[in-house]
Amino acid sequence: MNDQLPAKMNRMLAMQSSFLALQKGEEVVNFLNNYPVSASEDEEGSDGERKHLQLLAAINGLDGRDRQKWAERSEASQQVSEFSISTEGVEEKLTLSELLDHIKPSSSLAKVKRQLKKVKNKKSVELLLSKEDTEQIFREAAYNKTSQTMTKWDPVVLKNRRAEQLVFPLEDKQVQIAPNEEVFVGNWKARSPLEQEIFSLLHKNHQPPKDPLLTPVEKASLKAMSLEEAKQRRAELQRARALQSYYEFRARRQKKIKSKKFHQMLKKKKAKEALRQMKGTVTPHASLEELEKREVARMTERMSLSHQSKGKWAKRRAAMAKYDQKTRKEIQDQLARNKELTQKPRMPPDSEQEEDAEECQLIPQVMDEIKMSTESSNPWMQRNCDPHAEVSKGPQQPSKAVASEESETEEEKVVAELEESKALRKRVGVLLESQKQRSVFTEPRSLSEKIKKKARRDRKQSERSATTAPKEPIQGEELPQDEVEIETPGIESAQDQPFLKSLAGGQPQQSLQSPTEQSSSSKTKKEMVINPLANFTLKSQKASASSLPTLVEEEDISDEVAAQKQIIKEAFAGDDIIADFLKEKQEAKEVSKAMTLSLPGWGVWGGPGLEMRTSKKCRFLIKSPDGPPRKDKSLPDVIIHEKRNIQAAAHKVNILPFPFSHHLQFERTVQTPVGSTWNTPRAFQEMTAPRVVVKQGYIIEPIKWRI
Amino acid sequence: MEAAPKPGSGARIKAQGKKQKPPRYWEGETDGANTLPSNPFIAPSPSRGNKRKREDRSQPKPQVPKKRKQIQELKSKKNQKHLRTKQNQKNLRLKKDLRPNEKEEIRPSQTLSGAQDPFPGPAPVSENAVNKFRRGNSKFLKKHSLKLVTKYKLKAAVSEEEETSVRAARAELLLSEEPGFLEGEDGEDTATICQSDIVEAVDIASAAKHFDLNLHQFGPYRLNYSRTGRHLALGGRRGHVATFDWITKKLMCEINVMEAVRDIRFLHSETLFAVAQKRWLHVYDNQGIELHCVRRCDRVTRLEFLPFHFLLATASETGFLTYLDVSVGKIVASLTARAGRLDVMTQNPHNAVIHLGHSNGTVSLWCPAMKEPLVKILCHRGGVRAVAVDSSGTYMATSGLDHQVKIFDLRGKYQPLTSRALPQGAGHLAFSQRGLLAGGMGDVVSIWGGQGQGNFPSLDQPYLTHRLPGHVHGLQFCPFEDVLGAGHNRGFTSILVPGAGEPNFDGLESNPYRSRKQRQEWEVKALMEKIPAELIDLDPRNLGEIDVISLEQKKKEQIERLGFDPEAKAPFQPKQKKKGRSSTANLVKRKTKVKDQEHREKIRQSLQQQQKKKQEQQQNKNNKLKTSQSTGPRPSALDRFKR
Repeated sequence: MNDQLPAKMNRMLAMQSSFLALQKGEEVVNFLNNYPVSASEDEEGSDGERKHLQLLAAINGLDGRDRQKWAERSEASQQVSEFSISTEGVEEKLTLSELLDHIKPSSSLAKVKRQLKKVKNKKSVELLLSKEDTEQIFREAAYNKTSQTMTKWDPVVLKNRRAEQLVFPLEDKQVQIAPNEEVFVGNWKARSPLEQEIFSLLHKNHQPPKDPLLTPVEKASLKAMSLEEAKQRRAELQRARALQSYYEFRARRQKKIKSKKFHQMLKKKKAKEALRQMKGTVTPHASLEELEKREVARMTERMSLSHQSKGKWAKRRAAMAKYDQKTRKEIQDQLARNKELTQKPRMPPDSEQEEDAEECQLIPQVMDEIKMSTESSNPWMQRNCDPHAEVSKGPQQPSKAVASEESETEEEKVVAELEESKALRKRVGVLLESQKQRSVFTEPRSLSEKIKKKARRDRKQSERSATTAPKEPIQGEELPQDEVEIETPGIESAQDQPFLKSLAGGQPQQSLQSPTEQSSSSKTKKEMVINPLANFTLKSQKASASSLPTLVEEEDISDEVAAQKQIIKEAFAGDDIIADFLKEKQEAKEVSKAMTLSLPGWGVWGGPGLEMRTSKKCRFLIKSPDGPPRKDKSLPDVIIHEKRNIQAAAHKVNILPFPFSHHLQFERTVQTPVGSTWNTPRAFQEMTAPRVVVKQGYIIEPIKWRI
Repeated sequence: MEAAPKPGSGARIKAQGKKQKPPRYWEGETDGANTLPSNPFIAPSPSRGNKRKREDRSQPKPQVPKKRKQIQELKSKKNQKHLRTKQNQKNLRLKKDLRPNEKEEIRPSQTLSGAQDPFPGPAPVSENAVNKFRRGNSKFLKKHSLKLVTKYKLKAAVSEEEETSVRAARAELLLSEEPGFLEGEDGEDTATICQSDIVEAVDIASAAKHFDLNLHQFGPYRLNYSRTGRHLALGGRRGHVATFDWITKKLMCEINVMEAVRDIRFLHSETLFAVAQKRWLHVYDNQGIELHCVRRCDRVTRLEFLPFHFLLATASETGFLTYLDVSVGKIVASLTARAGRLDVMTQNPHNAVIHLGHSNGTVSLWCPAMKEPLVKILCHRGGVRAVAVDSSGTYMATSGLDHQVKIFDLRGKYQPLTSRALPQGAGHLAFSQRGLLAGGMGDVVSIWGGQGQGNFPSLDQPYLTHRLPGHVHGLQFCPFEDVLGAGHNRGFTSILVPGAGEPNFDGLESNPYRSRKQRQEWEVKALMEKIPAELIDLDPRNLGEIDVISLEQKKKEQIERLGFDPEAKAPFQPKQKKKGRSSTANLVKRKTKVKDQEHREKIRQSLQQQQKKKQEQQQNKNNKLKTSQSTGPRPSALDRFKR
């Protein structure tokens, strides 16, 4: 192929010579395209065709667009041919820019590249969004926008939410008060003749309903008058008005006065005035009227109870009348008035003297009645007058009667205890009488002595009482102590001894101190040791001899037995009380029991009669976890039960309401009581005020935004 | 911990049990940091007894208007000291009332005459007066950061309490009556003043309140005043029963029940009263007509009526404590005391708990909901003869066969405060409304008082003594009157005790002067406000608390049901970071850092608390030392020769 190409070039050059123009690129391309390189076969056959094509190309080139003639160089030569290739460039140097100029636009690949890029970059046109989606978008946008605008309401809403009370309607519209005349005049029709008359008058004078200072007629007349006259008239008018208002004001003020007396006086004054007028002009008609009036007054008086002693006021007064001169006078006045009113009018009103006499008779009777009534209904009132005499009489009189009844009471079992204590008091009383100067603490000693004596006497008489208690004190002071030591565990006995000693005649102050000393020495059992006696180690005060109860000496066999029992009971009262209590407390503590998981025969050589080792037992012993410490841990003389009150718990709140995160917070808010029992009425009202109040008869309109 | 642990691991489990507390519901998720030795929360101190510290002052403290301050400062120098103390007193004003004051400062109020109010605004109230009506608060509120809503609510609650308590303090002005008292002439012992002297000194109406009823026929008398203090019921051992208006001496009814009468008691009003007779309990009306015979309460020895619960508590010979609801006629509870015959009973008017005295020297406290006594107190070496509780429910007086009278504190510790040996011991005890204690010893009645309102009476010197014609069998102070009623062998004596009764009565609650209509209305209201019997508890304020145990149980169940804790705080999730800073190691590091921080915070808090505690203790010690040093005389070398 390489050897053929220059040959072709040659031929082409020859053709160019014949045809004027030839296009360079296209031709080459065409040439190359049309004649694939296997040239051996189309050496001659395609020659004509090629020529034709060349011709066509030349013709195409004729249209003037492509005037530049291109020549092809077939051979490398020093000199450029005479036809188309210029020789100018031979001497001139080729610049880089000239070369580059051609590179840019002319590279056909860049175009392709660009096209490719375009294709690459161009996204496919998306499908239109579905209706729902577009709507959603619109909605979102709308929501955002509206919520933005609605934020202006936030403070208002917050305020309303926090408000203690909301009163609807929220804005108070001021009610305009229209005067009556305006409202009525519109559709007012005078119906009754009086109204018609008034209206006709008003209309005639063109009286304005609103400001009736001067009617148009008056104004006109004023105008008509001379200045002086007008002034005078005006002054008159003013004076009249002032007077009127003055009287009106006075009447109003008088009406408001609540004093009964004032009104009574007023009434009387009026009556007098009327009477005077009547006297001035005595006519048969008027006098008849007067008579009638009196008759009516009499009737009403007889019907009512107003001036009698049966009313509430009178009754209350009657009670006080005994002491008070003034009230008595008042009652008398009342009755007199009643008398006066109920009298038949035929009598002339001047005869006052007779009435007085009658009154004098009447009143003492009433007073006596009052006295009688109080005394009869209220037996204590009589006694009240002289209570001291009665008191002093009281105790002396019944003493014998009671003594006789004493035997009756003994039959009742219930009384027994009372008698016991009474007998005891007698016993002590005897001693106290003999040794008044001694302090209280000597009493126990005497008591124990008494016990001893008593017991001895008992043994001599008979051994009736089966109880062990009366026997014990026989041997003296040693025995009871021993007893105690046997009965109670070591700690308690140590504490009990001092008490017994004190009972037996020691000094209580010393003995009471001793247990605390003991406790300090034995620190291990401190809890239990110190405190059981805490209740008893309190410093007790001495009794004053002035307030000692009196005791009567009465000897009774059965009484003595009871008394003895009582004494013994008192003497040995404290014995096992403390021990029992501690035991009880221990039981209360040990509610939660330990659990053993040890299996018998596990891990040892088995056989009948095998016993578990204690060490093993201890190893598998599981103690239940300790709960919170007991409330009575440090209070040995108190047992506080820890069980939960389920029934009360059912009434308690067992959820935590909304904004709170800790129960204390909620409890804080419900701490203040709301009820009227604990609050002043005002506070109660405020606390129980409803959150929303709707005024009746108002239209509640939606809230509006106001700037 | 519920499951049985394996053998041999007992010790370890025990240790765990000690260390690990079950998480409380408010503690959020269980983290390692949570297991702290000290509880960060301190429960609020019981408001009744302990000092209440006013620590949280969330609202701005109201201030005295400027004008007034200036006036005060202008005053002479002599008064300055006095003024300072005055200023130190925190003047309280209502929040609402303050607002106009602020406005006033801007625009001074002008009256027609041009004069200015020298004391503008509402009158200040002293802190002490207000404190009386406060219910206490918790320190917890201040410590923790709260949600805004919660904060607001708490604030509102605080301000409400403040407002109501200030209002109540202001309203105290309306309690116009003052209690009476008895004062001896320089050094004269009031106990030597006898009734006749008092009667001579007082006005006629009061003098009429001292009287004797000579009723020697029907044995020793029990008595009971109605709640209003107007009516008196007398029950003689030998069957004599009478009720009357003791002020006007108007007899309502008088009957003989032909049976032994052990006790008598008015029910909620004076129209009904219950009588414990030989066999059964009977209820009569004000005309003496027998309405009921309650056979389930037999051999009753003592009666108590709980007015707010409408419960009649009966103690019987057989050892039963029975509660009878008189509004519906049902027996609410019947409890066995297991301590033999019950013949000492009283009620605590503060919390409606029944106190029973036993022959083994104990006093037990009961409520109908519990089968066991709430508290048992060992009071005496011998049997308990009488028990009384004061009106505030703070103090209990007991007397026993060991001839002692003791006063106990009922506020949690149940320890004796004072005691006194009496020559014969007191067979009967009664507290008055204002805290005087009366004791009946044989035929003498002693009344102890003193130490001021709210304190227990001092037993060293009687305030009054009175000798009765017979042995005392019943004692009660009349409510709202300065009168002590004593029933005895020979009838009844009404003793004047100045300063015993509450001078001001609540007209809506117990009005001595109420009419029939008013009584009926009150009855309806009281019935509607009846408190269920189950609510009786040692501390009535417990009801206002949340039941934490069931709350936690609920929460636990919910977590079990859901499989997660819905309210738990989300665990810390570190943010994703770039450039290799979000490596696994880094993430772990960041997580541990946050966790440690939280842990440290908690430890710091607990340490602070401990320090505070220590400081307080030290201060207390110092104070004690100081007081002991100052009070005691200086020890001298010659002390050893003292005898």
